[in-house]
Amino acid sequence: MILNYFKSRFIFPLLLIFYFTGFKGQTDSSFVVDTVKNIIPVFTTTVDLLDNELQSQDISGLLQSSRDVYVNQAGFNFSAARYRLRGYSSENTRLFINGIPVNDPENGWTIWSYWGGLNDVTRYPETSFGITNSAANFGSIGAYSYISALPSVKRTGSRVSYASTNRSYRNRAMYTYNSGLNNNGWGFLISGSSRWSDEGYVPGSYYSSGSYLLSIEKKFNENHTLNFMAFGAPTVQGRQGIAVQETYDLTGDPFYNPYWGYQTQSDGSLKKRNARSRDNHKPYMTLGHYWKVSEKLNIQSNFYAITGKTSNTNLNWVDANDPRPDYYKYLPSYFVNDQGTLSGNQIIENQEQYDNISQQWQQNNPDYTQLNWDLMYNANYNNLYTQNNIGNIDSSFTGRRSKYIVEEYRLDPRHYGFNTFGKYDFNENSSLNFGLNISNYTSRNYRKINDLLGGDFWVDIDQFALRDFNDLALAQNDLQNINNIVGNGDIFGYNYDIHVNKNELFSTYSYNKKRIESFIGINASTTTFWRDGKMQNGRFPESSLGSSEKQNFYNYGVKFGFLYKITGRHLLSFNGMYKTEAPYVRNAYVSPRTRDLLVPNLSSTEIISADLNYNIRLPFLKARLTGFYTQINDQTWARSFYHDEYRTFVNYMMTNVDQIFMGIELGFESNITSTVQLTGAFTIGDYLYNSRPVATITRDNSQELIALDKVVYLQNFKIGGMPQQATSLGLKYNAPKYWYAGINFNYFRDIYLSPNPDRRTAEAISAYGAEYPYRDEIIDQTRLSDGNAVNLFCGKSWKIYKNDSYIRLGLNVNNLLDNTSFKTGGFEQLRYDASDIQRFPNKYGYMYGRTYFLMLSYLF
Amino acid sequence: MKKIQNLLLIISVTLLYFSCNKQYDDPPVNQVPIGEVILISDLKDMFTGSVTLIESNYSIFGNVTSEETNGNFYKEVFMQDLSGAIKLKLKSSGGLYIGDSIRINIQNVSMSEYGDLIQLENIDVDQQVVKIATEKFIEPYETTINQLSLSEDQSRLVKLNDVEFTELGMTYADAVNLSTGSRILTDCNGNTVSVRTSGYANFASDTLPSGKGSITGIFTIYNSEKQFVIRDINEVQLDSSRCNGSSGGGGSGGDILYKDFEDGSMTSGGWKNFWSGTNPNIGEWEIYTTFGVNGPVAKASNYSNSSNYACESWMVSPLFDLTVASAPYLVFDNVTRYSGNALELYISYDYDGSSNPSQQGTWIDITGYVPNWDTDDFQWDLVSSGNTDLTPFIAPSVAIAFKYIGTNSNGATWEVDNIIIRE
Repeated sequence: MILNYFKSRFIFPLLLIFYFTGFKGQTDSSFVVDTVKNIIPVFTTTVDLLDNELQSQDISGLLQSSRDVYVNQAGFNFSAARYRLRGYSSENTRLFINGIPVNDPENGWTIWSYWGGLNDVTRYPETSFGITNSAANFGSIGAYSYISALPSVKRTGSRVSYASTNRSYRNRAMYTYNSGLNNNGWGFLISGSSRWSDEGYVPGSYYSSGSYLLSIEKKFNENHTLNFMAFGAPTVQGRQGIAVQETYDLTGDPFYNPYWGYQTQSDGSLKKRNARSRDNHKPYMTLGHYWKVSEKLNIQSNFYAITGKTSNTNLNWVDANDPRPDYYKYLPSYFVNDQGTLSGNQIIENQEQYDNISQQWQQNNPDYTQLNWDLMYNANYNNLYTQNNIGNIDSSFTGRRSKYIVEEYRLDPRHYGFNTFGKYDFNENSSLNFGLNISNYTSRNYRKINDLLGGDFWVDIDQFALRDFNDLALAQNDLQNINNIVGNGDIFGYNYDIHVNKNELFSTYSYNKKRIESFIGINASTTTFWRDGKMQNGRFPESSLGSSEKQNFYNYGVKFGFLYKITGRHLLSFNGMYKTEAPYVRNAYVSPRTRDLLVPNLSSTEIISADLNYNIRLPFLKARLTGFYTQINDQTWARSFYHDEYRTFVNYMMTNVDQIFMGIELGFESNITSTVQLTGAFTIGDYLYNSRPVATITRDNSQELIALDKVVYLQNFKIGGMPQQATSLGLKYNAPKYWYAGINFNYFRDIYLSPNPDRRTAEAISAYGAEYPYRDEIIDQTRLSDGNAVNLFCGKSWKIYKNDSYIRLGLNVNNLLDNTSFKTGGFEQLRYDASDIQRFPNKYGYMYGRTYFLMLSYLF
Repeated sequence: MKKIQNLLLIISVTLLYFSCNKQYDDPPVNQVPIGEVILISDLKDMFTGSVTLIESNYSIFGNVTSEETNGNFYKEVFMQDLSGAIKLKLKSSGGLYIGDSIRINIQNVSMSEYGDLIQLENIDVDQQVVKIATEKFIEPYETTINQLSLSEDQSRLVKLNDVEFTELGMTYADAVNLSTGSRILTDCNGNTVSVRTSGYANFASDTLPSGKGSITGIFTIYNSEKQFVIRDINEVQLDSSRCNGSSGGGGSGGDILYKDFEDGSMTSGGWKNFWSGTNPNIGEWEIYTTFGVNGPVAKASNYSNSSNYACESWMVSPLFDLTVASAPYLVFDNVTRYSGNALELYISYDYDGSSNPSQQGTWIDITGYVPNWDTDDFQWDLVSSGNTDLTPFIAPSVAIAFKYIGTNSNGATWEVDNIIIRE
């Protein structure tokens, strides 16, 4: 029934779009069949395995669309292991859609899911990797990609497809229509899709997403074209949480998800409910002007606006038990005294409880392994409470005070900007690219009540501060609304705006001759950011309300590239970049939810990078070999986690974080026969911390600094969260009769967990002498086992000559051998106990088992 | 153009479809059965001397007389009806508050004892307790220490009059090591009871009051020892003269100058404020109660609405006679936060007691003689200044003054408390 509900919700708008297909422009007679390679659908399996942060690193959609012989394979085959191009995180990639810069100004990330489902439009971007001669922007060291969504550029006609899969969603329907430009110079491109599942691959997860894109082009004459474009992908997701190994072992399920639980419905049935839902919708809009000033000068200018919301829910509770089923006190290991280590002599302290809890977990009894919504509701139903001293009028209120709530963290962007960029050709050998971007960004950050779970109200005070200090003023989250009574939809806890204003200029001079291609570029930028608090916090009354001091950064960069064609088939190139970048505001404040205190010693980041490439383009062999070396210095690193004893967020900040990325990439495609192709991709890297950063640790509800200027001994630790070595070998058969089949073998090595900085300090081990046998367990970095996956793909296309249309069928099977023992990542908990390091053990995520993606499409 | 409108319509319809999340019905209410209602005294009579499982479907009604808010009780509350009182050990912390009128279904609950104090084990507030009303406060039973009955009055809310602590100068408990304190409370006849305070209580580090008066709390026992647990520090009112007639309360006896701001007044006792600056009264010394403090202190800060305002702000003592002492010293508590000028301390022997000190009087800067100014501008913890020797300034009419200076570009926050001159 639910499924039907979802279907009707999403299919209906698609049908509407179908209905409207009478409009056609001039038909494009030069319609060419896509190469077989490009029929491979774009998808990803790593959605939401980890946090938002890791999600942002998934730019596989971008990589897969590349035509680079290495990157294409890497994007397609390595994404399941959370591969990152050269180890860089996604702020080092620059992405433009019809000229809009879509990197998030707060943290630099490109989050592909904000336009997920628009595959028909985003499929063939102009992408280049490493340090390149980019057209719209100075670029960075990762990738530069420009997705065009102009009707005059895209393939005309209609494309409709349906896909069935068993990944985060189960169904996908998509429709795209492009009129091309008609005789009056008008063109329309529309695209829409629905992706949905009532329950995804992981228990308790669900997915329902739509997407839309509208691009209208009007060509006035040879010199002027205007374009209006709007797109977005409203997405609601029930998320997957990763957990400690103990829970996977007990339940026997590597995809155990602690985020969901049953809730009894009015008809008595049980319904799965996920406490961690994500509800995002960021509409992007742009008005672009394409101006051909002369034969030599082209300029594109855009006004753009990015608005909408991002929302994540979580449980909160007061005066009640921790509701999370995987809370460490609810696991059997809590009853084991392991003498400070798992390798030590284990003593079960309460055999009866240990046996009982182990048994319940092994039987997958949802009362133990999952959330219990009914209990939470009943706790709220029953909690009659009188709140006195409300507001300044000293009133009181009696009602059911919720002990448990679902709260919602909001970050709503308001991003407006103007950019212009162009190219001037001096002559056939030399040209100049130039551009300007003015961007004005605000995000509204606040917490609101999503669901009181059967209660009447919540009181906006900090319980921990109240107990600790016995001071009512100190406990207030909002001093101007003492003991504020909040209900569903009300803002509470924190409320502040972050402002980032950025202006950028760049210019690149290119010189190309018969055997030489070269460029040299410079850029300069100014960045200003500040915090504007909307609530006066009782712990920080003087630094929480109003605008903070503005922080200004002035940055610049230079880059160059030189390519030499030994012959037309052997190319050698060398690229380099030096630049500084303003620190991202996301890392700049020690506790932005509560106050405007800056991270000590905040400074610009320095990036130094170079790569050397050798390309071969023979009829039977295409290959690229690259060596790269990059330093990213003086970075600021910030993470927050919820500390359940403090009942608040604890913030870790590191400054002076230096990292080194060096390695080799090799990719090749070889046509063994006219129908059989051998492909390979290999990378080995060494991605390291290269400094001893200093850490500041704060918590949101106390002015006390937990640590200040603590030295973190991170030098030579590996950068975690990705394989530092990956190999893919593939064999593909392209049949003359328009079908193909292929197989890929992939192998991953050197995956490390990101080190918890606090465990690598002198303080962490100060209590233990050098002879302490478990000292290494505190300090050493966790390396995950090597993993492998075999992927299979095949497809066929038919041409219907009657109306010049095509039918295509494609099937991908990922992880054919159903390998479910490959841990692709995880993290060390930031909370730890040095005297018992396994009390808060690592959390891991596994690669999905065998999954398929079957797609039928019709092009007409 | 109509077609474009159609398109926009479709887009907006699409958007509408995605604006809502999954919906869920509220789960049904778990009814807590009533069964047979019995009195607390009847229930306690059922106790066999060892752990007793209550198999019958009984309920008890009563009012909650303690709560966990201030940390002195943890995972336990006391309740009483007209017949008696009992301790409830809770399965998890929280959920019951003083004045709650409740019903508990006690079928399958175990009754046990700890040092002869009878208790109900493992009560699940969310599933076994029904809250009927709030703020139905019970009046404490006023009695004397020797009249307290180990069996009849255990777990009861009581009020003792005319009692005092014997161990003056000690704190209620050890808040540093979080260990429980046991302090002897006595009446004028020498009967005693132990006041037990958890190291986790937020008043654990308070010094015991030195006077005599009344105290309200829960009467508990440990075997034959009479014990007493404070539920709210405001119910400790020991501020009259002690049994032996010595002064209670305060702490000013014998001091030459004593200002602790506990009365919430800057000017009581003849203290004065003088202020000049750029934004009216920003930076003036004022009473402050929010940070790092235990009761009111004097505070000066030139920070307002995200800006600093230049100011010069004096807090001046009344005139006092130092000739009564041979080795007087000054001691006070102070704390600073944020960057800015240091606080300055002056002394004058010719101040007229009323004029603006910036215009009248010879003021000697003794800032540098104070042994310990707070330098940690990250923490709100008041530190003691240490003793500043005032022997060089012995004169018949002396005043001291704190001078706070802020500029338009910065300014610290300073707090000062417990300004004492004694010998």
